Amino acid sequence: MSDSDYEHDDEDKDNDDDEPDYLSDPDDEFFDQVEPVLKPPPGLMAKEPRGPMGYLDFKFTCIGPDELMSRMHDIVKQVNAIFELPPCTTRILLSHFNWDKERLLERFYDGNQEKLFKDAHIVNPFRQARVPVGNSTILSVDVICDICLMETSHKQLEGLECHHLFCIDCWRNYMRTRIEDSGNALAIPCPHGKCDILVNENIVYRVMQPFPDVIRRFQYLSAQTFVQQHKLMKWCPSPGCTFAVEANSTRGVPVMCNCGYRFCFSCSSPAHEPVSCKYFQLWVKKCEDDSETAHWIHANTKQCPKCKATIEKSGGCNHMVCRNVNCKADFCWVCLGPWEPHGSSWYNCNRYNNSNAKVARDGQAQHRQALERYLFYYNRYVNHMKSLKFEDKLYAQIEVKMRDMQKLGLAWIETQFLKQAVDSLCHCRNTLMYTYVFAFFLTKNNHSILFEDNQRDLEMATETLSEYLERDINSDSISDTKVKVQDKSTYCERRRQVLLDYVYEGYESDIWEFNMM
Amino acid sequence: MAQIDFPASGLSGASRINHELKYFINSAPAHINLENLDDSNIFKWTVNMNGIQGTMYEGEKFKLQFEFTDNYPQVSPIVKFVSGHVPVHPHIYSNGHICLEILYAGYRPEMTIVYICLCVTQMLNKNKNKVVPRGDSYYSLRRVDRNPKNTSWIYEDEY
Repeated sequence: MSDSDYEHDDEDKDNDDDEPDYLSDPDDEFFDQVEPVLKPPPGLMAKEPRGPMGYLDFKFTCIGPDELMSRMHDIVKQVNAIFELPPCTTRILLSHFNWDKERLLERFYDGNQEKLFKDAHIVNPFRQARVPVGNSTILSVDVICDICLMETSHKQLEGLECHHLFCIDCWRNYMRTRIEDSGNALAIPCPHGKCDILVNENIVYRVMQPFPDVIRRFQYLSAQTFVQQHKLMKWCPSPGCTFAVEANSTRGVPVMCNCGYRFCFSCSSPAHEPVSCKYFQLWVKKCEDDSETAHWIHANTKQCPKCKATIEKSGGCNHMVCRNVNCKADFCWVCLGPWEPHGSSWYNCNRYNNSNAKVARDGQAQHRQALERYLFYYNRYVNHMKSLKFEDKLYAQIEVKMRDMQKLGLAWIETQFLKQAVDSLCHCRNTLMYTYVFAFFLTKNNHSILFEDNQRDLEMATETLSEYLERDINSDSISDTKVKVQDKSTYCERRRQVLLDYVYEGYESDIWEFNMM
Repeated sequence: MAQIDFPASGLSGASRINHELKYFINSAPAHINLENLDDSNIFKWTVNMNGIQGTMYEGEKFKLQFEFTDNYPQVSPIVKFVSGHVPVHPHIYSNGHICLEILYAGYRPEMTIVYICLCVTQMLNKNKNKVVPRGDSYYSLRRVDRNPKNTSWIYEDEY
């Protein structure tokens, strides 16, 4: 084979790498987990290759606390390559635009620059005198610092480009107070009462140089503000985790932090695919508030037709006399009409079609139906949630099994499939749990039937996998179990991906109809 | 590296307050004067304030109280009217609390006591409508001893 052939091969390889990089990006953990291990059988994967669908384009990376500062400096550098302003000025400008480079560039070249600098609270860098602050030529005259009101040598004065000068000791006290108390290190104003120019990092580093702890705190706050302001960055909500996640869009897609916590990039709640953030929040609210208590009351009680008091019938005949002393209405429990025409037929009612009574009965039936429907989905949702709560226990059990297997002569690496199977099981349960929320809000149509088929398949596969994992392992069954567990967990992952693909495709092509309940 | 202490002695609150005290006695505007300051506690001032001629508060007398901490002027003083000597104003609650940005979020160390007094005076001078703030009775009754700096203020007008 000649050299040129090799080159050609390399080129081809490069092109291949470029195309489906959502499948090969090493940082992209979410897609790594769901990447089909085996070649999917025809028909299971709808489109090959998967086209540029919105959620498949979604990419994220996890950023450690140390990289954050360099990410911030990178953005500043990129913009500065165009602006040629001092980096500290660019940083305040970027912060003013929530780190949206494009908007800043647009505004910088489109509009009134003077106003832009005023809005961002910085001195117009093109206008300011090029005399370095703090190095004034008048050295002999003592002046009074406006903060401590004491005479001070001109040498010791410091200030921003607005030329409000104060002595270095007052600056140090001021910055320490502001940096220690403030939640936003990029929003410290000049100490002068009528000046809103913001303190930049240069003066902080210059003045606070002997106080590394304050500078560290300043850098910490800068990073905090940076992530909070940047639309495409989120802090990992897991307690104590110091990682941030950066993505290429603000979609509600689950991301996984390096600490292992999976959360929704849009709303920072625990990962809730396939249901969208909006309906997830609605569901949480529904489970928390007492709207379902109201449904129960409506389904199991009736109102007195006269005074509307709520009544639960615990026994006895149909002749009701309201206990409310001001009401004392006589009515029939079945038709809710007045008792009089019923005469002495205490246990049956033939006035079934009385219009008032019919309205009341229909209302009751509706509430009963709504309650039943809610309970159907809620029970399944809670079931998976409870199973997930045993996750830790399951991992511990699996750990024991893996040790047992090693005693039976298997290598450590050969037992790892069990742990991977539990990972798959947890993923599937988490997805299944939220498919019930998704289904609860879904209006029935042809697509929803397909969705339910997918859901049923995944549910059955997941339960079978769960059962395999609980079986005892002995030396005879070991190879058999291993094959079964591996096959099943691969199948589960694949079914899960099929289900999710279908849901996301549906979001893209707008086939899902939702009902707010 | 040896830890350098923050300059405390020469720059503590007391030093600046003493400077301001001299300045206040020598050159404060005619309508404000300092009530007998307790020499042992210069961290609490009471300033007598007379309503300016030609304004709605002409002839009235108020008492404005300043409480400083050792961090002054880096940290703003607590400024409120002494109850019983509170002007009726849409942004001043009858427990003495003043809704004025420069006393809270807008405070800067460069502002002096005289400057704050002038801002409060200006706030009174500009007023055209002598009414108490909305929700005054609720706030004033429940927040008698509260530090006004702990209230989250919303600044409606610019003074």
